[in-house]
Amino acid sequence: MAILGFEITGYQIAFVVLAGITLGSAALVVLMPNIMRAALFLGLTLLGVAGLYVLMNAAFLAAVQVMIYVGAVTTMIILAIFLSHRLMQVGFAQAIHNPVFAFAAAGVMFIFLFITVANSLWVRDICAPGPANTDVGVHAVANALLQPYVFPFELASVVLLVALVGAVVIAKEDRPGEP
Amino acid sequence: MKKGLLKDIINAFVSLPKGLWVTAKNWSFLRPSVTQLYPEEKPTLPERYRGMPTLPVDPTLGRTPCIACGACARICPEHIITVVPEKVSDPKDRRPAEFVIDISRCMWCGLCMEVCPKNCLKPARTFELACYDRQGMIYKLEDLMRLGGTLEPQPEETKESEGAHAG
Amino acid sequence: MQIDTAQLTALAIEIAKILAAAVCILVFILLVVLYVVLKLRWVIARIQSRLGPNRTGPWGVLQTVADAIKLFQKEDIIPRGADRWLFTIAPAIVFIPAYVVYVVIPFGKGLTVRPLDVGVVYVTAISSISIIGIITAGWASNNKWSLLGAFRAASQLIAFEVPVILAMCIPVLLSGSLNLDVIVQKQAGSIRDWNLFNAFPMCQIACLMLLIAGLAEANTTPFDLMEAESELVAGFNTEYSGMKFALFFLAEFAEAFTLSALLVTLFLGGYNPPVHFLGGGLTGYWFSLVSLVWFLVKCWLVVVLILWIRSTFPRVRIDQLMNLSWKGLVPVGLANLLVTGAYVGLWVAR
Ligand code: SF4
Ligand code: SF4
Repeated sequence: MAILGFEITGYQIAFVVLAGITLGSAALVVLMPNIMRAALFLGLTLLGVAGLYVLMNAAFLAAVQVMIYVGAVTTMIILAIFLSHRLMQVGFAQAIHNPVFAFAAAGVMFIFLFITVANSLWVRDICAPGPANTDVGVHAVANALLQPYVFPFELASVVLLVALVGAVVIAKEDRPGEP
Repeated sequence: MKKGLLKDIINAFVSLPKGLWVTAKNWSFLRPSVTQLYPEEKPTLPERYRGMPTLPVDPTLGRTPCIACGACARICPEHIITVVPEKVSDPKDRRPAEFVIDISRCMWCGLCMEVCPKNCLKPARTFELACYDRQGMIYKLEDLMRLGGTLEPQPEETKESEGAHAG
Repeated sequence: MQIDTAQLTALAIEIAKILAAAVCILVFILLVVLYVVLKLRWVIARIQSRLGPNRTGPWGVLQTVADAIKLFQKEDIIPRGADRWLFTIAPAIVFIPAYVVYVVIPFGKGLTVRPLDVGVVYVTAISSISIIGIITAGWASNNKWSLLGAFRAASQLIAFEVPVILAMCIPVLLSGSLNLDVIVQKQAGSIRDWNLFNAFPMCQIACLMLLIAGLAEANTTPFDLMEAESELVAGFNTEYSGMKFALFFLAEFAEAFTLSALLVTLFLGGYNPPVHFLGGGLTGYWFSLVSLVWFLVKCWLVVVLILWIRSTFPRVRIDQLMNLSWKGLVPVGLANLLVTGAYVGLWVAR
């Protein structure tokens, strides 16, 4: 289909819609004064990212993204909001106290990520026009995780384990008579 | 804790199926339903069912043997019984000209039936008193006689012994 | 501006197909929920030596239809002080995942809407979204019972998602695929090829785990802590009425049916007939039809089992529930996964 002289495929329309949802709700996460709504928009942002994964034929990654980030992480963030405010106080408000510093930090982060992404190997494959033809199946992901990338993979799991142990230590109540 | 855990697990595998078995027995044909299909299947009222107070008709008199003494009206805690005696010359032939019970406020205490000297105020053997209008709850003499049915003949001494029981 | 007609037609046909599938699933869910609620009331009534609904329509089959119509007529109340937007979208966040999950369920041979390659992960991923809806509902209602229900919902659903995933890994490992259709096809043949009767004792443990954890995920009675009416009025949906409440209700029973469909698909041979001569030899459309019937029959049996459990056991306490998951099911599930992995890697793969 051609609109206004531009050749537009369904893939591009879907990409624009999903990217719009992702970026729009990401902006709302920052701008929403009500922190609960901000957390819900974070969930929408993560869903949008999952949609982008689907567009890239990485269905497994998308499903895992939804399961872990939307299902678990957003829930945890909401629980943290519940636990760190007085229960029935509706006016959860978030404020940006130091916009200059916040922008600087976000900008540095963006530049860092952009350089990493632009220099990585897979960008060249993905940047080929149209959707990638090879379906990144579960087997490919499994092989990648357990052969070339086994060290970072295990390192990540060790980091998570340390976080878990740390959480248990912090949450453990102090009993008298124990060191 | 450690020893208790194993016991708990074994317990779970024994007691949960046991519970399921109990409900399965009820579910099967072993326990037929106890539901009464009410409008089709009328409940059997117990012999001494205490319904609303009514005035059964004495077949020998052709009317209620009530003597309009007003004892029931006086004892009723809700003051819902109105008795107006008929003006008759013969004091032995006293009868009510009007007898009204506003059953909507009755609390089924049965005091009126207990106090009646002629033992003519009897509980009705019906419970379907619902109606669409509050006026429908006000029962006149003829309604009370109709609802009451016929009075079984009863010798005086039965009444005395009943009173003794009640006391 | 030129438009390629052939392409547009193809697009229109595709969209029409998607819409038709969506409507079919919606109607199916509605019918299933109407039936399951009715069956629940019959089962509970019979277990309590009553008759249950028997007045509306023949044998009372129209009772739940009448209830649904009544529910739709109710006033839609948004309490003062509630967050209007979140209060309104929360039922949708709960219902849509419960609805979209049906896309991958193999109802019969060739009767899956989209046989995704990541079916199992898709199911767990999509159903985990509904947690957010429940929390949102509880928070937006501005009611302490709702909020407590939402708290419990969050902790309970996260706790039981882990055992569900661990249990679903076992048949996935055994059949070597995440695609629910492939898992079903691997179990073709007779009742002896079903996962439940293979790989003793890993599959049996996994099946039991999926049943227990699934009951907790679907919020049915021994584990319905988040709406425990004796403690929390009605939990997260205390303030809801009318259509919005109906959506929660629909989602809850749709999830219960999803659980039974998953149990059937993963462990009970899916749409395969239990013995070969009861339809195993058919081909084409006839086999699709027969397999659909077998799927529904098996689902019916599992649903009755769930209703039986539901009407038998009393509600557990919140700490017992948490202990059951984190101290019971998760370690057992991990060990089970390890043993099954070793079994598949060392025994089956050879
Ligand atoms: S039963 Fe009690 S309340 Fe009713 S009319 Fe008799 S005395 Fe009054
Ligand atoms: S107490 Fe008995 S006899 Fe006296 S007025 Fe009442 S019903 Fe009639």
